[in-house]
Amino acid sequence: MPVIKTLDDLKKIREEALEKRKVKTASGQIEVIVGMGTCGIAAGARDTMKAILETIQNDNLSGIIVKQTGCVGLCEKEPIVQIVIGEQPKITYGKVTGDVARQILKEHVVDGKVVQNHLITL
Amino acid sequence: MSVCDDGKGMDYEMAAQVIDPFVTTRTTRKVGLGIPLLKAASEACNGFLEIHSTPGIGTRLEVEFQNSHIDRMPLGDIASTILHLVIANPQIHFIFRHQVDENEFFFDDEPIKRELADIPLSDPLVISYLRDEIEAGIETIQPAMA
Repeated sequence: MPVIKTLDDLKKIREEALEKRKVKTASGQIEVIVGMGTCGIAAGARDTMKAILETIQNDNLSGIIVKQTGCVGLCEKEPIVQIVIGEQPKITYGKVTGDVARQILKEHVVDGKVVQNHLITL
Repeated sequence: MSVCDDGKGMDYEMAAQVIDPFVTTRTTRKVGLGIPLLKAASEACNGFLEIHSTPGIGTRLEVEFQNSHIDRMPLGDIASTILHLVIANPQIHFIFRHQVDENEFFFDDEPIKRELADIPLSDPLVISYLRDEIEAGIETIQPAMA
């Protein structure tokens, strides 16, 4: 029988998350934006989104905001993922499968190195 | 299945256009394939798709499929669908109701967001919480296996 969680669990989560935030050094807010228009979804953006949320959860990556957007006009490059770190310019990646998404989170978001072979120059 | 919002709504002409992917007027930039594909999928299964919209009030999209139809596409991983929508659109207040026979799972993200305040929905602990809540809620309403 699955356990239904309560709002009390959320209180604990909030306290834990706030505690972690204190420890974390501020590199500015990190945004991960996934193109989820029909073109993105047809190209596999749902797997990409799934991989991103699973990686954040499994690798315990805090301080990342995940958002979805519609078609950005580059349907042939979908699934598209964009990364914005603090005040830095937006970086756009194309053909982002689940594996590529995991690589982007690890190398770019965590280690700060742009993944060159999936980069789209706009 | 129905999807309702209290957004800006559409006038009659616009509502008709979003159903037809081939109408080309200056406003067709807002026309996409999502709704026409859903309409085609429902009609292939003895169903229909309707959009009721009032400018300034909101939009209700209703789609019906014959559940037992051989061409009905599977619903898929609805727990992930809702999880992704809720997390990746924090500015939208989501209410999700999923019914199987007499059993209903009701999910409203408003109390959760109020409790979390400035903690993002994409925090690893929150993802885990939401995933468990939505998966468990959908699992509890499934018919018992024979």
